Amino acid sequence: MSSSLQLNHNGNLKHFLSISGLDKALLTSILDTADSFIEVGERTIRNVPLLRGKTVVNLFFEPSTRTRSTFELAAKRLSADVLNLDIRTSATSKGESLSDMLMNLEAMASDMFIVRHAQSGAPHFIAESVTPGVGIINAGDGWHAHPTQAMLDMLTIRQKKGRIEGLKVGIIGDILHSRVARSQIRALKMLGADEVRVIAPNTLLPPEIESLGATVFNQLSAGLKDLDVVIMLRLQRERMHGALLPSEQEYYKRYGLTQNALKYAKPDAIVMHPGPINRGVEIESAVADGKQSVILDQVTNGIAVRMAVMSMAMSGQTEAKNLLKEAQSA
Amino acid sequence: MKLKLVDGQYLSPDQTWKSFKSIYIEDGKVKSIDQDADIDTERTIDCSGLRVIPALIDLNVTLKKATTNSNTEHSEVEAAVAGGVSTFCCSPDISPINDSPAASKLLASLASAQSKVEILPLGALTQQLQGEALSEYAELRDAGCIGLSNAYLPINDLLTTKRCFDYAHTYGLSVFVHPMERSLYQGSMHSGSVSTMLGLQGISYLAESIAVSQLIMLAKNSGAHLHLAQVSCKESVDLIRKAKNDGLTVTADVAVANLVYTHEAVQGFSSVFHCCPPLRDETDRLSLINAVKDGTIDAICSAHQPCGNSDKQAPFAESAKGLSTIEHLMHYAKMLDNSGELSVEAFVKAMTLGASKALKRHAPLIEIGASANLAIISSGNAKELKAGSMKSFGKNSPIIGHKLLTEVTHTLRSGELVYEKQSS
Repeated sequence: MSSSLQLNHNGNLKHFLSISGLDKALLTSILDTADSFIEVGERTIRNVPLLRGKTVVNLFFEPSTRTRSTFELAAKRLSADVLNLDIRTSATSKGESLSDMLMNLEAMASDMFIVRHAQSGAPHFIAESVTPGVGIINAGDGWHAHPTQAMLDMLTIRQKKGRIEGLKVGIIGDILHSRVARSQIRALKMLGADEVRVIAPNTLLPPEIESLGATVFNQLSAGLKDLDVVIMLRLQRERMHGALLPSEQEYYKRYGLTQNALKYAKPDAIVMHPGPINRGVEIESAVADGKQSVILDQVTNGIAVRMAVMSMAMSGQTEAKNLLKEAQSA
Repeated sequence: MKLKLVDGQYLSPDQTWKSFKSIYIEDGKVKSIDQDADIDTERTIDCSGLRVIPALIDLNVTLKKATTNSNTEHSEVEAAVAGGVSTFCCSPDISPINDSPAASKLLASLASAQSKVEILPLGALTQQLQGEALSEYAELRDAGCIGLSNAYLPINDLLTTKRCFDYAHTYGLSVFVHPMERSLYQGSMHSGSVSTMLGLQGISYLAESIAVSQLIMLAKNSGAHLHLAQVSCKESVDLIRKAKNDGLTVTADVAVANLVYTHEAVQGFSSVFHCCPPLRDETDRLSLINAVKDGTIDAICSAHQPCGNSDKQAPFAESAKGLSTIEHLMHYAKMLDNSGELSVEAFVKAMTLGASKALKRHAPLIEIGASANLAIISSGNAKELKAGSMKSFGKNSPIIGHKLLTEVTHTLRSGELVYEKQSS
């Protein structure tokens, strides 16, 4: 899906909307590029001029602290001008349509939109129908995709395990509502993970999740067995109200990652979480802060991965525009 | 008007194609076949290479508005005749909602102001289609409504539904229902592998089949005629088949889109395929086709829902529902014929004999003495469909840019030429 939407005529990234539609070579090159930016983060002067003179607009239609901050930092480290729009107090609350608002921003010579939206497919819609000339980076859409999160997770796994091929990975928690899980499953399968398990009660699993290549486990201990990587998902408290789960206590007892439960995984398994963590709801503090946890590494890697996709998509956009100009003048 | 069709093929009452030298039409009726080739008429249509079918009857059209600026030309009426349709049921979800005699009369005035098609109004099953209080069924019937429907909106609870049936049966009105169980009908597409992949909330087949089973029981209990509108899944088909075998007078239709497309069409968040009921999976699609073949599903409808361009310009779940289909019904028929899944004859049968069965009307056949409601079709001219050439206000057609496989060249209603394709 969407490969033609995300790639320019030379097969290079021009929007980053979903993992789906991107091949192993491209995903690997995102990781390699991100690796090179990690070194930048360790310098005293952390800026590189790749996006100098470019305008990046953070369009967060849903509240976010971490993702938005890391995108802003990433854009600034690439020397871009960054505009943060608080959507709740601007345009769409005055009745302006999404399309009109975005076209106005495009007219202000924006080069890239970082979009988070509650509706699945909103970034696709913007890239396809509204402002195709602006690079769109999906910062999370509905339950659909959160591809930069998945890529920073892949980077973290590759750093800690040296590879992704052949690993057994389990994702535990609310898979149904998770855009993170969907992108992770895609990325893990594409990058050659041996097995991707989803571990949850049936009310938190979407239908036919096996079609994405995941194996379903209802029981935590069986699901954790022999895992190299354990990924926890945040459990939204409102799930208790929709008759999806009876109580936090029952959930924690069956699916919470405690030190005891973690013993079922391989001794050197790493523990990941996209944040923010609910201590005592899905994960025990001792595990979140324990030696197997790589949760803070994920945050650090988030900046490098976002620098990578922004610089790659910006260069793909420029390339696409040059190709178009050449075609028009020919 | 005296009119003559010469040298073509027509779909005969035994559902086979027969060649004819002439079909002579006078006083709105087919006067003779192959007998009056030499008679002088005001108009002669050369049908060589063309096929004549009974004009289509469409059980489900959304008009959006009951009025037009001039009240003489309505874009959707123009679209209907261009699609070979001579009669259609008008869903009550128009502006104003058809839940009062005044609204019905407004619609009747539109129907009488233009004589190109016969518009059969469906009255609202509940006031303002809110699913709560009954509308005035007797008044609606007297104002010309031929049945009742709650359009695409669910009815609140089973008690209200039961009373709708009981009260409708009092006045001999058929109840057209889109089966949907309100609490389960949450989402924007079929619940399955594609909804999971796209992260869109899915509507389970259960939201429909549970409603179908309840509606069948309520219809049986009340004695009212139940017409199940736009069934979409295998489980519904199975329930209808059993009800028919049990001798219940239930009828059903399916939207053409559900015969042609599956949920795979939504890949890439294609909002043109956002519709109600949703496009389901391949098992469902094949089951629906088989049900049309064996008569479990009586009729095919267009489920035509014209949408303005901006209505579809939104993220998938927020985009308007529906497809603009009425102009190209015979294109879809040919698609199904080409794939070997459903013959054009069976398609036309479902949109004529099947639909008239649901309406409890006389079957439209091409035979001497029958009303001359006819459509003439050609094989397509291999030209790509352009949005600008569509008559419908709604350009939300999935086949824009596709080559038309079949086109309607003429439509006749009661012997009058109501549509003639302009040569381009």
